[in-house]
Amino acid sequence: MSDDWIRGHLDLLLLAVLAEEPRHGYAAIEALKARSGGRLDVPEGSLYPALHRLEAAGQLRSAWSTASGRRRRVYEVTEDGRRALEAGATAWAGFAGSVAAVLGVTP
Amino acid sequence: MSDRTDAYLATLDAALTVGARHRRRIIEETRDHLRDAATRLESVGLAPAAAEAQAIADFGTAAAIARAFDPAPTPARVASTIALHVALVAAFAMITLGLSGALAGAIGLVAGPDAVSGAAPEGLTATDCARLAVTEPGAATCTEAWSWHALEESVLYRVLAGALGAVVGIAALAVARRHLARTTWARRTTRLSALTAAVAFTALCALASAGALGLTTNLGLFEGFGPGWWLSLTLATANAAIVSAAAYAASKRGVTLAG
Repeated sequence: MSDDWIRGHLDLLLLAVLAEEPRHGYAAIEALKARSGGRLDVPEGSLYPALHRLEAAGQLRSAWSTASGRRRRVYEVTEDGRRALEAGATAWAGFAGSVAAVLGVTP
Repeated sequence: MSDRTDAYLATLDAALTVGARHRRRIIEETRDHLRDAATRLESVGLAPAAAEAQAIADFGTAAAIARAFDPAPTPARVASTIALHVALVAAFAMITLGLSGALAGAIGLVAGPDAVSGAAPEGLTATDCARLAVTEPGAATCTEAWSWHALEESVLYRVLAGALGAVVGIAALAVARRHLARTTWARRTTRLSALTAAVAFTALCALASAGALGLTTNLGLFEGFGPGWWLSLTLATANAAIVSAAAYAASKRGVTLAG
């Protein structure tokens, strides 16, 4: 899948995997790969600017956490983030359905 | 982590244009990420060195990552940056003025107060002289008291301006070094130095011209300003021009205040 397509929807994808449970950056990428059956291969370097941007927008919050002797920055979705995820998912479903209808394919 | 990861992180650190605290966080998160990625790649059969190299390659080039983090120039950010630069240039000008005050004081002590304050005005009244006798009890005559008083005022106001400039400059430098990344600060130091050198050189020429005009004509436009008054300002301004030109040259060679 095109990197540009992924980048264009990265914020929404990140909100989705972090809404499941708080995760650090690498775990978020692994979750994206797992949930997409390996089809979403996120450009790794684009992950952290997106996480920081979402945090600055108030849709994520983060804190350092130590587990198994490793200190990591763990991100979790805020209430604003959950609302943005819900709105984004609805908009995406409508858009994907419209495009699929025009193309004559099943989304 | 090996030298390869350390070198990558150092390159990323230098390329980032965000503030110091944000930069440290990005570097720390990137280090964690590369470690996790290399561990996973090793678990699927890559040799440690190959896994580390692959993890770095997958992460992307330092320049691309830095560009993605580059803060957008919001109106507030532009305004605060301009204010910071204005404060730095103003502080440098005020410190220059303070230096000129110290020079004026030295000239006055060596060559006498008239050398800085110029000849006393002819219209000093008895009231003026009585007031000057109080403020300058050591003066033998009213005109001598006026000269000392004028010298002291000239020195005091300039030195006070210099002290205020030092405080403003230290505060502005602290803010700049905290909130601007090294590369950003280095670029701006270069530009600021060039700008300050140009302004100081122009001021130097103007001062020298005005001083020469005042000292060689008898138009009455420059009464009350002796040669030392002009000389102290001219020397301090020349010093400012030289220092800022040297800072500009050093910045071009990669030596900056940011260290």
